[in-house]
Amino acid sequence: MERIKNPILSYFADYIEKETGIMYGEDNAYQLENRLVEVCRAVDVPSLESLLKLAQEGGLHSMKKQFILDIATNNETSFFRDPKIFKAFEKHILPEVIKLNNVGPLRIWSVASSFGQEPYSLALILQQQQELGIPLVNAEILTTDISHRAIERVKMGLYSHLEVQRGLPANLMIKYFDKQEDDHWKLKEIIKNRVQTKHVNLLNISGVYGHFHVIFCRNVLIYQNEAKKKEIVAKLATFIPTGGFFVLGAAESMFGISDAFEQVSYESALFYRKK
Amino acid sequence: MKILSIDDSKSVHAFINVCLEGTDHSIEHAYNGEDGLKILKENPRRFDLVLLDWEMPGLTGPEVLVELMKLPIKFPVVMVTTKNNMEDISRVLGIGAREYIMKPFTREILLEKIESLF
Repeated sequence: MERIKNPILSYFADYIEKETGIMYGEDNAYQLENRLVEVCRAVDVPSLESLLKLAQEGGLHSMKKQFILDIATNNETSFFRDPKIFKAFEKHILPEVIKLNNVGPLRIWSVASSFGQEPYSLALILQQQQELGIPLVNAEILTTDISHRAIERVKMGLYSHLEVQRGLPANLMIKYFDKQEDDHWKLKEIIKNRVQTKHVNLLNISGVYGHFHVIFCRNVLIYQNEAKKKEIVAKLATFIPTGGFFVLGAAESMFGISDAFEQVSYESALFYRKK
Repeated sequence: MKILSIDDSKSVHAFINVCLEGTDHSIEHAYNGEDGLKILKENPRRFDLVLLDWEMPGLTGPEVLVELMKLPIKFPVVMVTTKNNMEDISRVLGIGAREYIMKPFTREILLEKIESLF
């Protein structure tokens, strides 16, 4: 990766790489610049030059430093991402699969955990449903990822000031998270305990057993070619019983990938029901 | 969405303006609690949503919030503040704030919180 030429951006790129391992080069320098401009606006610093001066003179307090790191590493993941999917899951999919499942626990698989926002959003829904009297005590959520770092983040259940505000309603934040002294927010054990983690490569699934009533596979296949998409979906489909559901990302489609599912729509959210 | 932002900081107003650029939302500003309350009492139907700072000279955000909850027309109020402890957040959600944004925040956070209320 070619080193950033702009000396201001280069200073912050070095700082971010040292603290997080995330690298910015000349190719994505514009992205870093956009994000640093956003930092300046949000923390009321007039320019990138002023931000650099503050940083070099040690005038950036820890919260602003953390903010730079958070914004630079922001991976566009949020809780309840694409809210209509989660609303439809709660209102329509859950009741269907509860009816479908009359033996053993309800099982859900979130196949690409990222930092846990998706599986924990599902866990928050299950927890709230249980508090309303729906018997979901034994429901299991498995989340997997190819990245060990992602799995470690999920296990920690720890989110920055910015991450915890992405998609998470404030009432759920104060009910199910504890604020830490360093401005991070830690998920309570009652939610964390609902989610099991496993390191899995979707191209070579091993160590996952049994069936899953719902598999969330959103924005995962977009990185695969057509043949691999078919291979992964065919493999995942073997885990879903008839009547169970497969969930793709908003911009994805099952068309030409698999005929093992029928498309169903609940309040404009698309799901694929196993035939 | 027609939004009123009540905040004593000009830079916060400027940042919110930038965040809302290119969206369908329109924004007006009040620079203290008294002015914000006056605008909303005179015409409570003029806005769909209020962004409300906590610490301001004169009436504080929670004091304004209590008054807004007495109005016959209800609109969602989002607290936008540097206060970030559980007790403060619980307190204003208990009074009737619908959402809570902790400063500093990003454009995505502001837009997601606004959109989550409609």
